[in-house]
Amino acid sequence: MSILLRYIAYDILRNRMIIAYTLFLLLMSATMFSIESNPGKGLLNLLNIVLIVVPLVSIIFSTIHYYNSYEFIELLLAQPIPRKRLAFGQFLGWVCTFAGFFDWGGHPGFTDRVQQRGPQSGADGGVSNPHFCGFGHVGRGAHPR
Amino acid sequence: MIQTQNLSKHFGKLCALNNVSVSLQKGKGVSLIGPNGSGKTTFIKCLLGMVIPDAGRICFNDQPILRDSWDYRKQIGYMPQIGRYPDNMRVRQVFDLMTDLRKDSHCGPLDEELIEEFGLKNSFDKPMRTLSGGTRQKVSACLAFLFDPAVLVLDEPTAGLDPLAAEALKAKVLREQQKGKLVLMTSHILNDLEELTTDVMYLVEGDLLFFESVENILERTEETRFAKAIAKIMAQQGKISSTPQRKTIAL
Repeated sequence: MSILLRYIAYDILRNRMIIAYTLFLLLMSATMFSIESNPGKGLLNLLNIVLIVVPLVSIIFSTIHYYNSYEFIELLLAQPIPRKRLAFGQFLGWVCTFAGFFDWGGHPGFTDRVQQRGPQSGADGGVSNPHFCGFGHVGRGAHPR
Repeated sequence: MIQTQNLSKHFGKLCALNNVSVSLQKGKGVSLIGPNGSGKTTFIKCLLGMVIPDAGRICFNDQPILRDSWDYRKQIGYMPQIGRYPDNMRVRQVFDLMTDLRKDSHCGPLDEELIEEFGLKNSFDKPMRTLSGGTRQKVSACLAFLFDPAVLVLDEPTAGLDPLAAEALKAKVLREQQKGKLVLMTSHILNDLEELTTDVMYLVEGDLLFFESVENILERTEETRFAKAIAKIMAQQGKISSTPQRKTIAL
């Protein structure tokens, strides 16, 4: 499982779309507090991102990634590893990289100004990431093949 | 080595496999032949446990393959029809991933003969997305042979390979076969199969039409060349299936 996690994480880390997403998060969390005079409002704006953008990106990206690696997953299934371990390894690979990117991209927002509430918003994202990666993961079960 | 009993699989109304019973022995080169959509790949996927059959069972070394059994795959090397790999991985990493995944089940040296023959070492640092279709096919072939498995399952192995590489692959398959391994392959290029085949499994729309040795087929069709004999059978089959009473004709 850890082997799969490592290789999948490596594949995702080099993906251009995901790097753009991280930079977007970084930019957002850095600017939200500088345009708003009231840090509470800035945090509210960040919360909107956590609620809308993060789930959307994790669903779309994990689905696209799954469809692109369909043939590779088939090849992995022909190897002597249990299916569950494969599915779980892949899921963890997504979740860990997404959570990592989210934390890194949202870093200024969590540490700046509203230090008491920052960690909470970070935790929100941390919870929503695996859930929505999971939705992408489950969505593939509905695929007829 | 591999036995299937009344293997059946339906995809909705489509019948991909219908009561297929065969017994595949060690040291044989079994060719799966049939028109497009006749269930060849489905049969292979059933063997690999990627498709769960609706009915019937498969035994590998007398052990039935169940829904969640995976141990038997230690002895199988699989080369898929379409080799697509994660875009950002390098060739070396794909090989490393596979060796890591199978290191528990495989002890002993890796079989890197084919890597040398294809000259793949030169492209080991290239990302997979930059490779041509043929080179990807070479990677798939090398991965199938890497762990010295007792059973080789090759789905259209020579499609997309240049003549030199195709010859190298065929020579390799032949060598492995002589070592007593079972090789199961599909291809539409009958000339490629000719030297490697000892038995033919002919599927049409999920039905196993016959499973015979090459000598038998040559005798039956009164031909000297394998490709011609199969072409003759296919032509006969075509005539039969174009008549409306097809199902009533005993074969």
